[in-house]
Amino acid sequence: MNPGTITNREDFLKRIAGQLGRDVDLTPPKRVYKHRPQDEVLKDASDEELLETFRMVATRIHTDVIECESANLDDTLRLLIERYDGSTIIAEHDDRIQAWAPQTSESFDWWDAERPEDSRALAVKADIGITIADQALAESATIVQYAAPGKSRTISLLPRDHIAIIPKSVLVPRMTQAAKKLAELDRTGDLNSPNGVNFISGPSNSADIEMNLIVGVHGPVRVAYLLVHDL
Amino acid sequence: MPNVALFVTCLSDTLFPSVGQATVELLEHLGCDVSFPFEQTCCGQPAYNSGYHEETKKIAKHMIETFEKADAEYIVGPSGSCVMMMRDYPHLFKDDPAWKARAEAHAAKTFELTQFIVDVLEVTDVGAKFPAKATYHASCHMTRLLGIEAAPGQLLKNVDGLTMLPLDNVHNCCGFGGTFSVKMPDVSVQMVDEKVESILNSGAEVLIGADASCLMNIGGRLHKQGHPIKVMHIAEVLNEGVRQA
Amino acid sequence: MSMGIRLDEKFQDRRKDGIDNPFMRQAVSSAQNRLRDGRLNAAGELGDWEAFRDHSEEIRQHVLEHLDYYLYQLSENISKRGGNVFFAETPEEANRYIREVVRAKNAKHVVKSKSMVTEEIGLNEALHEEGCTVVESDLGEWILQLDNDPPSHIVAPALHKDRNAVHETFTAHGYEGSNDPTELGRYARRELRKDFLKAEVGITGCNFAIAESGAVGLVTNEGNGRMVTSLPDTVISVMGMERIVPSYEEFEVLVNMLCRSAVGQRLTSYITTFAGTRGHGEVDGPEEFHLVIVDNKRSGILGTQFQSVLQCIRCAACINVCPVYRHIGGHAYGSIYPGPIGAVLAPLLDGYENYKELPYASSLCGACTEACPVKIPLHELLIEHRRVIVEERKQSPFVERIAMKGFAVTSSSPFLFEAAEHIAPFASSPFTKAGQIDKGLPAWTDSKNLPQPAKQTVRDWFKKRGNAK
Repeated sequence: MNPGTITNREDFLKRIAGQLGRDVDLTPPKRVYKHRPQDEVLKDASDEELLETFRMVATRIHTDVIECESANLDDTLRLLIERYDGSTIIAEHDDRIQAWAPQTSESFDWWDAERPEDSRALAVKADIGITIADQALAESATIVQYAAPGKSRTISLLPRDHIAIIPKSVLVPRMTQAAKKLAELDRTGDLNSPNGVNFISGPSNSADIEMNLIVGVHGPVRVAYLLVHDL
Repeated sequence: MPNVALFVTCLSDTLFPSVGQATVELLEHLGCDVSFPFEQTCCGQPAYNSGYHEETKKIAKHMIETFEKADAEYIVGPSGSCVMMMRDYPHLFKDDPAWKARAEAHAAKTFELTQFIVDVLEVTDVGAKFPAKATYHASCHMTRLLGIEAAPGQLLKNVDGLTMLPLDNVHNCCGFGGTFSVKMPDVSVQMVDEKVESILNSGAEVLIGADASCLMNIGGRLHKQGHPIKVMHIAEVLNEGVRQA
Repeated sequence: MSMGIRLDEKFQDRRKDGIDNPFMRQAVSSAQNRLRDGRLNAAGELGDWEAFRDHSEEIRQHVLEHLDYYLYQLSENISKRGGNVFFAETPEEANRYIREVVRAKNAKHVVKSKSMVTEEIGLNEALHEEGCTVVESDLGEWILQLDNDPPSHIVAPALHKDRNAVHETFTAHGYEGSNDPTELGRYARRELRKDFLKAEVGITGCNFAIAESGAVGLVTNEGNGRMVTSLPDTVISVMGMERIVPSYEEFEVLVNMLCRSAVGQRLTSYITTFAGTRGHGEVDGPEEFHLVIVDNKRSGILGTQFQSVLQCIRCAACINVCPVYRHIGGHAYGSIYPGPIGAVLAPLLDGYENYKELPYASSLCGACTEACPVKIPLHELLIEHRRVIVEERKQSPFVERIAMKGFAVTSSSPFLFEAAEHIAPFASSPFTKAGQIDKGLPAWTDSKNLPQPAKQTVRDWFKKRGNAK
């Protein structure tokens, strides 16, 4: 990748340092914080308690939670697609989904980075987009999707409904743990964090008209979390 | 016997003398030896809040000196707002270490009345008797800035015959804000009207507060509109029944 | 739209318009109640909210003390990830650069997600001059754009409009449905979807940039921020220079505080970060990315007694608890930043000339300071503005200056103070009826009575009593 340009930086930083009463200082500052309350939240929660929190909060944010074992994933997905009245489906390119997805459906397509325009057009017209979560956060019933080669940032955004498959093993207490992992990716290597991360908590919504909740504004109108216990 | 210098506050001294008197009687009833440093003036808050900090410093120095001469263990005043100003004196003297130290010593022994009774004297039942239905206005400076939330309620709960009714939006400001009320009366009156509405909705016959300034503001509006709600300072309520005893 | 709103009118007149608008006031007060309750619930659920406030404050203070380093690190990392970084001292520089990018792409359609800093610098007007259509895609902002109306709140910009007003606006734009909010929302979805797909350039704000990762973070509920950063080939993010955190770890803390404080949610529907250009094997995300870092007088606040205002994360918690905002509404402030934060910030970013009355639009009740998730002492900064106006700029009214000098002289002299106390009851007696002053001081007595000063002060009583004892 070609590095981008940086313009007007020197004077800009000089002005800041001047106001702070010193010269520009580019040595990495030590971060010493007196407080770290984020580690205390859900610290002692068991796996079952985390799951319970996840389910409870998902309901609060208008999200369906369906649970199954991997052996039933195929059937469960098919039923869910039926319930959501989905005739055109687009799914994320992921080996784990590929192994179980209902490939019998004629209108079922994979996101294909080799065919960008077709993939985009499919996502736009799809009833349902299916993704697999990289992480899930119990506290806020959030799924985390990393951008990656062959993957899409918009399958979870453009279709009318979104189904997120969540391996139970990726569930962590809260965003603190997800953030730590991302930070570590950049500390150990050279900018290894994904070049896009979406923390998704339920369907798109807005309260811009009289503070009334409108569910489904620009993104999905319905979201289902499909929690797979043995993955 | 705790030795207390009364910080009367100018509103109580001139407009609501019964508040200052009740404060003295109540503290004496609770076993305090109360003195009145006669040279005290105003805490300076009107000047401070309006941005006249040089003027405020002059007033603060005078108040610190006056109370230093009184040499009491505690300084107690019947107003969260005025007490907060005195507690803030050290900030005025950031660049003047000698005065800062004096201001800190002064601030450290200054207490709002209900806080003094509950936290220092460790009394929550003063033995008052006042049969009435009342509601309590929590004033902003006392609640938010001094952090006194529980003390008034604890004391009122133990007043014989007194029924306390909840006040909607109790956290809302009454709209006084010192010079704000005369600089922007258009906004101030909207705020006090909201407060008056909550008070009327509460069903109370008596409005109790711990700051004469808020009570002057709310009471002034209630009286202008002819509402028959009695307005009392908490010192007066706590002194009811005690006085005769 | 730049910072000012109706600045040709007096503050007093703008206030009157707000106070005389019952719908706006009803809408604002019900929104405030909901948002306040939501915030308190969300704060309560988090556990030790005060420790979170302390931590958030120390993060923000740390960043401001080392802002040069973190901006350097951010720009290095964005550049490594293929993005271009432009440092703009003024709105003009920022707008010029963005226009050049848009021109180079030969772009005609620009779609934006919500951004206060682009409002602040008047970017939309600059792009119109460039011959572009610019579509605001946040539902609230879109409603305002169709109606050519400025925002009245930094998080819920169309707070002052009801469903009927929105219905009217949409109908004029071709909508044929009812005034049901969901139906109105579906219309916006259909219309704006076309704009997302057609736009050559997407423009976003920035809630927090992440220095260590070279990423920009957006906090949204509607998903427009994701559309704007995923679909157009060129994306430009514009950030106020202080909106930066060291790493994902601090990002997480502040995002949690922002979501809870702004809308009472644990997390909003979408927290999106994106870093530079899209990767190999990706279809979504920009192939060209620009970050424009805007100073616009912020650096002048650093190192001053007002520095803490730069800790602001634009959550609007202070606005949602402010009783003055409640009654006058956002437009009265004359600034796109209303409420307590606006009253502190507007004079600093745009001068005292237009905004010298804002610091007085507060009863100093402290509700703002108490609500602020990053512990900005807002009401103290308002007093500090007043001090600057009085003591440094010497712009306080003459009568007030004389009065305060007199007050100080009296209040530092026991003799004069006591004399004044004794004169008061006689001076006020012509205006007194049954112990109440009901006229003579219009700013007070037009709306409220005042007790007549007592003939016997507490000190007189105490002296007499001592003699009697």
